[in-house]
Amino acid sequence: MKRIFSWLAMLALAIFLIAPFVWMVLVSLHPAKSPIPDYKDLIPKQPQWGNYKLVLFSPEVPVGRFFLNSIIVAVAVVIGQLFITSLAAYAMARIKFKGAQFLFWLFLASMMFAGVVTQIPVYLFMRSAGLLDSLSALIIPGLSSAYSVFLIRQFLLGLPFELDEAAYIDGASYWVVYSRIMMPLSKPALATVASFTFFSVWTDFFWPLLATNSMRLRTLEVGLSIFKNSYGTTNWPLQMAAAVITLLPMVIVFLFSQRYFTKGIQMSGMK
Amino acid sequence: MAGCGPGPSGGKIVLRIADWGGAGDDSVSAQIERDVYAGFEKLYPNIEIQREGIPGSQDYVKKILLGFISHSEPDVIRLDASSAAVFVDNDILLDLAPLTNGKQGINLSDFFPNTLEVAQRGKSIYAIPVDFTPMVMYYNRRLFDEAHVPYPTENWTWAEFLDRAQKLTKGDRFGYTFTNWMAGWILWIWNNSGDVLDQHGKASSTATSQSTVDAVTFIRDLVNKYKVAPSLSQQAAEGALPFANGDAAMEMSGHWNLTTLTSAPKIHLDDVGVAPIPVSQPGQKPVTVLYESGWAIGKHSQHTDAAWKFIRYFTSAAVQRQLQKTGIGVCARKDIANERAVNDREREFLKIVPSGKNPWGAKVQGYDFVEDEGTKMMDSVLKSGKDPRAALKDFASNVDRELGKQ
Repeated sequence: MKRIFSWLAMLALAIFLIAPFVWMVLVSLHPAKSPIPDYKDLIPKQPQWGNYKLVLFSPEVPVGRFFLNSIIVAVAVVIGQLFITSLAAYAMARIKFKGAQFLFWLFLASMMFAGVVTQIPVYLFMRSAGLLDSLSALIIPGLSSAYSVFLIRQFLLGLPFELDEAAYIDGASYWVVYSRIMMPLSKPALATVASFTFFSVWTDFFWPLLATNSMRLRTLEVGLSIFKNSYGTTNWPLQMAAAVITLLPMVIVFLFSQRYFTKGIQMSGMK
Repeated sequence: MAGCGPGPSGGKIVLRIADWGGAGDDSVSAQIERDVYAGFEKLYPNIEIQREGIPGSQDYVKKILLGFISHSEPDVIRLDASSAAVFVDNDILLDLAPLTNGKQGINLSDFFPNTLEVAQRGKSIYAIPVDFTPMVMYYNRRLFDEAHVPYPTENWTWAEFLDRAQKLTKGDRFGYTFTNWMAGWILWIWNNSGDVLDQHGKASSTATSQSTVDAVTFIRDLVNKYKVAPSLSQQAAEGALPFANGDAAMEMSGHWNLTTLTSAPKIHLDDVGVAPIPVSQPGQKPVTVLYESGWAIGKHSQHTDAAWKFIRYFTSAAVQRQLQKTGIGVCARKDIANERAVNDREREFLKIVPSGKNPWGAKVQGYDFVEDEGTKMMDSVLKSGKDPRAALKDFASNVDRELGKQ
């Protein structure tokens, strides 16, 4: 009885959570430009699958290019950030050096600033470096993340120190310990960082909007928002079709990485 | 080098033009716009246009400001009346007065005077108007006829509005639909001789005046007491547009609304009428707001000559005649606006234009904060049942504190 009740509760919760997604898909199938329908008319009489074609193959919005840009940026940032932050985390967690603790505090302190605080200096830096309106402007600022360093460091602190000592006795260098021992054992932490980073890069709107001007350099999130006009003429069915297209890759990634999300939250609480 | 302002590209000048994007589909309006831009490049083969669509009104302001700080703002900038002050009053734009008076000038008397005022400061002018819309009261003639209710008149009052709205409210159908969007509901306050700011940009004296309190009380009563409009939570839950779906008989909106109504399956465009916003007292003159947009030139532009050529081209009668087919706004040129007024509805829009004032955002920097606070204030009145006077008092003190920082 108890089990049935808990299943029913979970089912109700699932319906509640999935309803907006279903609503989004149904609205996307109404004729282009039509207003948001009433609940009773939500199921379209003739589903307009052509809306997806219209968004994907719009003559003035190069959606294929947006997809490619989003993938290039997300993959480059995830790989780059994993490499850089894991090196920093390794040094902070496993190598004893003067000022290590202070350095870690500095990292933690940088997490206290809201992202918007650093946006203008980063923009001006990119401008001075001549990197605005290029994919580099979207990749470089994402290559490091104090949060990722923190997360990996916490995980590495939980691994037995005997592993490093045994390796050093056998003549292993820091690099060998890092690449052959620590990283293979840190796969859960790395997967968590990778999925968090992917989601934040994929859904980032404001930075790609600031840093790029040309249509061909827009990411999916920014490029498709053009269907949402802020001056009252929102084309709701197309806007919703664009939202579904933007969301799908995230749903796929989430299905493969959902367990790391909960792990990630647990990990940040480890010593 | 990317991002450092365009230079010649294959011997061509690259002219960067920023606006807030558009429908972005292959609709007729997008095609018309493409044709207009292509027409310019054909006319001036040495100029290549790089269009930069920046969606989101607040993000648009931030991006252009950041571009200005780093001397990389676009050459030509679409200026929205609602946020014009932040650009015009911060010396971000080129004064176009010398260009308008020059040999290749523009005759400013071709434009509606109240649209020019948005970016005029003394003898300087910082943007040439393109199009605009007055806010009007839309009504659905079919629903009025079915309920045997007379259509709105030119000088109708709040009492007449309420009477009609009550007669039109029946079952699932409402007489009116209210949206908590300050750019719209501020007109209830204006048409009761109230306001949210005074001429010095202060809220404390005007926002707590009896006229303003009475207007907010009237809005509250429409929704909560007389129930002639769906509640905010009812609307949010349904997520639908009641007027476009034939569930509400009246709605306050701008000319752009027609583009949605054209494709709405439950309303016929011939049934759509427009009227001035009702006034609180008989004999009072209705007032509306003009939401206008125009073209400006960035102060750091290296291509002011090409930018001016573009503005002259875009605001010319021939191009505006072509562009106005999109039906999003009313043309800022009087000649073309009159040409386009081929039906009663369009003529009604033009009749309302002389009563149009500029939005506060055209004169006061940081007005977006006032609008955010206004939305919160209205939420507290309509959703939490807060007394309008107390809500407006809090609103005024928050606004004065924030605007006082500037």
